[in-house]
Amino acid sequence: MPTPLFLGEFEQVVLLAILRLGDTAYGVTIRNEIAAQTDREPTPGALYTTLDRMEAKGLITSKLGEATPERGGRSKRYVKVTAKGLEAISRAQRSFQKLLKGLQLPGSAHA
Amino acid sequence: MHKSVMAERILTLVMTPERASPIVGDLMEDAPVRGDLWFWANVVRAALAFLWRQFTTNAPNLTALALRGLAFVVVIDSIYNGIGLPWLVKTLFPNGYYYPSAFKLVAMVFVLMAEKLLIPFGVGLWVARRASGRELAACLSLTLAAYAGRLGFVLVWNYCFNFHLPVLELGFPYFLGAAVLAAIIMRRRALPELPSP
Repeated sequence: MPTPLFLGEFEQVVLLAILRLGDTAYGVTIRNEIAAQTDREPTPGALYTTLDRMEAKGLITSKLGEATPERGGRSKRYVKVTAKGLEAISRAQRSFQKLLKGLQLPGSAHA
Repeated sequence: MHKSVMAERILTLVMTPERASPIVGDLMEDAPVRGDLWFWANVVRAALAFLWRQFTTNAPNLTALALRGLAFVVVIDSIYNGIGLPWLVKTLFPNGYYYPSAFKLVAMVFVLMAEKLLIPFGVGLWVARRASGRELAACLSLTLAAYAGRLGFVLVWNYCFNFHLPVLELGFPYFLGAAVLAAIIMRRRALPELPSP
């Protein structure tokens, strides 16, 4: 039985942002989505190394999209969560839910 | 040179052009709002982040390569200092060091600089050729190994003999510069010509 893949906190944030964005997930939109939902803006360097690492682990796949003039004629790299990535994020979130069960945190709906 | 092309050249030192191009595109997209300073700061930060990733994911290989490079540096340096340098000094100053001509002084500076630049450059090329895709990380590892080796040697020497060698010396920037130049040259040779946007 293969060892389950454990995700870091930032990897989980990035995977969830990609899932929320669907087909429009690429560097800029992922960064904006994380900033909008978590009030923290990741640096591009941190985001791109995380995307690179997750692609190497098989958690996401990427493909080149259209090039636009405001990007200096450079393509966007769209990313998508793979089945392995979906399984890993589901497992990580289930663990969080289990840990949260019975806890009363300030500003949280969990009980 | 347009800033996007320059940024792409910097990023391709630590990643493939296929990776670098969309990253530069993303930064270009945000640059009109955030400014040039933000653009360049993030080009450098992204390059450093990928460079650090190369170190962390290839640490055993890079360490082994750096130690092999260090062994080469020690051997070549010993030959240079033991045979080459005395022969050159004798040739340039057959009557001793007193009142040398300006030409001979300049020649001596070149001879001394050759040790500081040519040896790390040559060994840097050798190391970079063996670390395809990670040339810069390999040459920086070599520099770190060389200075860790020198520090160890100086500490042992100073402990064993009543003669104190300086712990820090001016050769470090020369070694670093020559090794990084070697990495850049090898990386450029390994890459296909970057397409113009």
